[in-house]
Amino acid sequence: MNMQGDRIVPLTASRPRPSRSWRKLYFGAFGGDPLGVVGVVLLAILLLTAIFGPFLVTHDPILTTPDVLLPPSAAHWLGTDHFGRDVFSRTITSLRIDFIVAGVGVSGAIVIGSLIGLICGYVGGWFDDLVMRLVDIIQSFPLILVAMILVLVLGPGVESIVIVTVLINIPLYARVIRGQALSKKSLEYIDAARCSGASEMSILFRHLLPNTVNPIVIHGSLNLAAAVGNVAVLSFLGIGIRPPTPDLGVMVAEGTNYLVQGAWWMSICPGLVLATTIFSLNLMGDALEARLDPRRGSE
Amino acid sequence: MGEKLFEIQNLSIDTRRGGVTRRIVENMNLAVERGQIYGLVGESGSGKSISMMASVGLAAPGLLVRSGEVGFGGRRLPASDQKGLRGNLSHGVSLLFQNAKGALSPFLTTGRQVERVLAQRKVPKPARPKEITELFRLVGLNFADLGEKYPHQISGGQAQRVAMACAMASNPALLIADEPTTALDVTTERELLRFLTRICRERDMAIVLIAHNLSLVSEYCSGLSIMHAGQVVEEGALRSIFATPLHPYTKGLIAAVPDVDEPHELVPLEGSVWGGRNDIVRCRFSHRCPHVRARCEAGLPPAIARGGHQVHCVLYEGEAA
Amino acid sequence: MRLPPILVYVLRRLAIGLVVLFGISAVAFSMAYLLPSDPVTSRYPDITNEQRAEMRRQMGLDQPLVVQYARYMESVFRGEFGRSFGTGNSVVQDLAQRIPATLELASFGIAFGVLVGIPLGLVAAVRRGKPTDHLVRVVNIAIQSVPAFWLGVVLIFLLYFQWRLVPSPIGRLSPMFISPPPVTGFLTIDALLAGKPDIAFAALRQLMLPALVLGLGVVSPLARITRSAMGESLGEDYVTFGRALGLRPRQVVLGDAFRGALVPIVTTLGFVVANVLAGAAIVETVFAWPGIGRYAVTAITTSDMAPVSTCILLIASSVAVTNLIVDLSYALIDPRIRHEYAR
Repeated sequence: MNMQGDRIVPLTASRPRPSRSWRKLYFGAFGGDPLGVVGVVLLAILLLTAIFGPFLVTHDPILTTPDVLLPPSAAHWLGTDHFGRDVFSRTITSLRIDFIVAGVGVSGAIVIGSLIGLICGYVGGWFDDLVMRLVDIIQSFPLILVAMILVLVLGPGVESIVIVTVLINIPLYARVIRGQALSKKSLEYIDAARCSGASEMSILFRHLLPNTVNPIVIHGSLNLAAAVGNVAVLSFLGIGIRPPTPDLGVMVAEGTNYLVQGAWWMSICPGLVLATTIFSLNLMGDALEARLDPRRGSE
Repeated sequence: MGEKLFEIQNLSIDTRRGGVTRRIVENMNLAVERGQIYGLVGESGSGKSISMMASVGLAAPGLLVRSGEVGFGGRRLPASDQKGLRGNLSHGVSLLFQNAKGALSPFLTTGRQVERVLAQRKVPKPARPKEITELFRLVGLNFADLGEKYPHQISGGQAQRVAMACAMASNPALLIADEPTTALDVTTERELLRFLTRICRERDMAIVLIAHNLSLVSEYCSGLSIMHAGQVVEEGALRSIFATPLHPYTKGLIAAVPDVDEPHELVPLEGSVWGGRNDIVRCRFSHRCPHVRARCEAGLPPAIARGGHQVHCVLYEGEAA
Repeated sequence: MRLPPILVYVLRRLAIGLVVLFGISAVAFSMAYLLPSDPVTSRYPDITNEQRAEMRRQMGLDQPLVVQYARYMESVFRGEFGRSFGTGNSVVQDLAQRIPATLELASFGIAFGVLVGIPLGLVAAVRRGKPTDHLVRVVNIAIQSVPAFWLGVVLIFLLYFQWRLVPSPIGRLSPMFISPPPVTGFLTIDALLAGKPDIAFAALRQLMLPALVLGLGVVSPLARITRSAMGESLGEDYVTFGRALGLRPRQVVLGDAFRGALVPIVTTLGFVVANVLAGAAIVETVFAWPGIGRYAVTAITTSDMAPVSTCILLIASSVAVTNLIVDLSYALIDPRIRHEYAR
């Protein structure tokens, strides 16, 4: 821009002061949004807890002992369950399992869904029509019931839950990425790449794919929150992750039978951890959306 | 000199974005007499619409009104009292916007939109139909043809007339028209402006005509303010300004106006409007100004009366009037 | 005779919908067919293999998928929608008993969600960027983050076990009361119609918690879309012009701006209804609510094929009908769309 000609006195006095890296991160990634930071910090604590879970547990999470239904105490921070197992240790172990299941499931859905969406948006034509109608139909099914059926069909276990998480989330990414590819593929820089002799493959992966990062990050974190919840719902309904493998949903379900006896810690503690996990992911996703989604604009 | 009807004094407005405050209207003054047509001219982004909107209490959310006073019909209010200023609307002040089709509610028939304003004025129900028909006739429309139609079913020119009927329904003493003809074609534009001036005479109504087109304004106004980058650089009687333009920006603007009777070479203005930060005080035209000098660093000087009107420029500082 | 265009539109949509539902029924039935555990074994665990094979043959479970699907469809056209192995009734009979329960729960839940979600979004939009807006945002994310099943458990523990503020979560009406004669199927309304306000009150108390938990799921998406759609429409020229005309803020914000935001809000409400029907499966399980959600969950876990596919079909078709209603309501909201449809 030649708007500021050379007659102009340098503006050094008014330049923003050089900022520290945490400042840059705060204003850069979250646009100065404290909620996003709270979300990330919470999530980091939970993730670290999950990763270092095996070193943090105070008891064997699946060892049955005679100390049944003990309230929270110094020995058992969150009490014990109906088999005398330590609720704290089980909660931490579950967190690890649930993070892995949801994380792997959502990542799988992102990879496969984006690929489908990218191809649909780029190739178009009958293939696009077919896939999108299919996506429409899949999305008109009640997903939680379909997920239940699929898990039962695949047989109970952690692997089935992962596969089902992948399957039911593919349509989301296929649709989002297709839209993104459609809106970008007619832009000038793609034409420019094509004119300079780039192959179709390289256009697809080097020019279109990088543009889908923002929507994937936004949807990914919100979707991860939903996936953690759905995994828990399935195990709460007694499908998927089965006892004695600890899982937050299973623990809440088991605890409901002992509410009558006042053993609230069995349900409420793992559920609270579950809710906090989902909350932190949603906070982060919301902050990222506010920051990266042009439609939401600056707030 | 006629009686002062509307006055803005020392109006300053900031915006804040990403931790940086920018001044978008700086120390603005404006005075309109009863029945006068007053032009407010500047490039887009010069702050002309923003300042007028703030003067009637409609500053967009996110704008910070820092200082200033607004007087209307003997009542003076600080500009920061936006709510109080909104009280002037429907009590003597009306507005007209450039996008008339978008300005009408898409959910109501045109007749109903006019009726809403009458209801607001507490005109009794039985008296309304007659008054609506009267207002439609005033703006040159036939109620029987258009009254039952929705805004998307009528043309842009018709929509602007309906909007005018709405504005006239509150019987205003001042109409602020923000580029009311920009969306219209050239013939409709003339028609509408002629018509506005007629109403102005008939009803003794003052108009502030906001425009970016100096030649258009010059045909209808008696007073004029030229705005650049949030600052009024020259103001006063239209005749005087056109006879002896003083500020380099005004000179540039007038040189860029084509004249059919005395053709001259059109000189385009270099550069564009400034989007400066708050802590920079120097004259905001200095970066495009051919006469820039060291004193421009100190900022815009207060009004200097010269040649029958007022100018803000260091070139005329210390010179005898 | 020429039909009015709006009717042609509806009929065409219904026809397309019917074709799609056919497809959905086939997929749903195949999925149910794939369910591993088998209804005979789960009902009679101690029988011999020969007895089992014999029973499966009698029930037609040894037939190939296509034959079983054909039988199911035949039963669909007879209006029975298959027979449940679990209850022994035709699926239609089972559903007829349970649909009112789910409808009552869902209506109260959605009503709660709408009455809380839309005002929350409105307040956030009007106070955009102010502390109220941020507060609404946090509350929203929090509501969205609490798993419904856990919230149900917490509420039951606190409000029932601890404080005895609500009756025990055992369905629609405590056995102490006699159900009013069914008219609408809504116990609360039927009891009022029968002139038994005490029973209506008792039914309402049973309904309160599950409807609250179900409705909370609606609050957050509605508040979100209301905020963003209102944010957009508040910036429309017609809103500014309305203000400039000196119209009352309420008239401008609730009249024009809200109406301008209503199309995306109603669209979201359509999505939300679909979610509520699926979410009912969880809430009904937690609160022992005798509706179709719990029926579907039981059917799935016991591999009861006809109820499974019929429930999926029912939910999918209610979603389709909801979408149709949503599309038609656009015409009511916006005269521009109305004139578009009429063409």
